[in-house]
Amino acid sequence: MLPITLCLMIILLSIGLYTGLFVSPPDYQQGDAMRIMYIHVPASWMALFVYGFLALMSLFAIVWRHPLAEILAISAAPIGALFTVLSLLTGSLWGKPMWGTFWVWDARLTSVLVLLFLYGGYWALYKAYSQPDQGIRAASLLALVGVINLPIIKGSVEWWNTLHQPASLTKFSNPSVHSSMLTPLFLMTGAYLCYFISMLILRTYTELNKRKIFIWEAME
Amino acid sequence: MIRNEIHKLYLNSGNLLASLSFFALALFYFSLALGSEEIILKHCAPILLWLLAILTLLFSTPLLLKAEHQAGLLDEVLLHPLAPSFYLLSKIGAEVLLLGLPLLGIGALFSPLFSLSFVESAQLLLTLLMGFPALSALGVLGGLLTLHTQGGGLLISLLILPLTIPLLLFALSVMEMARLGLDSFAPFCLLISVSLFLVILSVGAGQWALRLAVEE
Repeated sequence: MLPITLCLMIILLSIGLYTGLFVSPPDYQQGDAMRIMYIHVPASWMALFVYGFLALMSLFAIVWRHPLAEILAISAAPIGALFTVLSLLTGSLWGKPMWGTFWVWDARLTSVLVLLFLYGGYWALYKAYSQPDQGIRAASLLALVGVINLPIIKGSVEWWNTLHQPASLTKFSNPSVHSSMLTPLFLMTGAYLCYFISMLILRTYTELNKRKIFIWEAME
Repeated sequence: MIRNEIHKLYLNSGNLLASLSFFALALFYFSLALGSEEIILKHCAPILLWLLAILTLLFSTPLLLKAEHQAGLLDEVLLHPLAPSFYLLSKIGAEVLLLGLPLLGIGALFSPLFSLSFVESAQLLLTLLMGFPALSALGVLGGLLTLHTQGGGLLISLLILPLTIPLLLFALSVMEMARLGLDSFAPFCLLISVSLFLVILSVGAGQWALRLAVEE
């Protein structure tokens, strides 16, 4: 499974990058700078998707106490955090020439930052326990609370923002995206997804082996 | 049950006193450090009061829980015929009464330092009162989740602070609307509903967390 997804990722990534960087037309307003979108937008999607996956696995871990769900959740968390960081970094790099600043307190930006904090809290709680399985259960609860709270946070930030500044400045108006831009976007999303799956498999193997060692050491 | 919790809190009054004096001293420090510029003080007062209230709760609640756990009282809760959520709710209630109301009192006492008018400080304290149950509930949840760890306060603030963002933002928008002379009823209602929702959410999750913490 792992070689297949890795190969698929490399193929999709190369085609996606090529079509995104060379084939697709430049934006009529933003020029070539908008090509960072092909890195940025899929990363944001994946950041949310991985958190959803993490929450689902946490639900399985809490309700049915399925051991594999715990391991999958803990393996997915750093990958999701990586996507979140990538999304934030490329977003601010994109924001500098477009909005004139690296950071705006826009609702979307703020909620992605909060998402990063949630990932951080999850990981910190997991690491704070000396027994990994205790840590995973506590962290799973936190992830579930976070996923329920995330829409509220987004809503509150939006409300807060409309009070402060006009949204027209920060929301880039999206005229219906042409298919020549949409294709590389989806290709890149597919590549990211394959990356996620392959890293998930690798990390799960590692985590399983770590657990085996842990049990072994406990037995001796 | 709530009387029981109040009694327990009362026995732990050293901890309560420490949290209250932390809150008072920090408020004093900030008002001192911000200088005598009236506009800045007025602008910063709601933010500071809210942030310090959040931090005070996040640091004090887990300490109380840890003390109870060491005394073996949490095991007793699970053996009790009533659901553990009743215990959590009464704990939150006791905390609002014994920690929340004195905090509000200190806030009221210090409002002249921030050159707030009577109406403004009343509004501010009202938002704080509405948000307090949710803050306390989140503190309890954080305390239960980190019961077996050594990290303590800093870890809890990392876990719980992102979850308190909606409360903070709605409370601040109430104050902002009032300052601009607009109708602040809508954010106030939102604040109350978010607060209630967070109480329910964290009590529900707290029940699980209590079970996890005690069983292991």
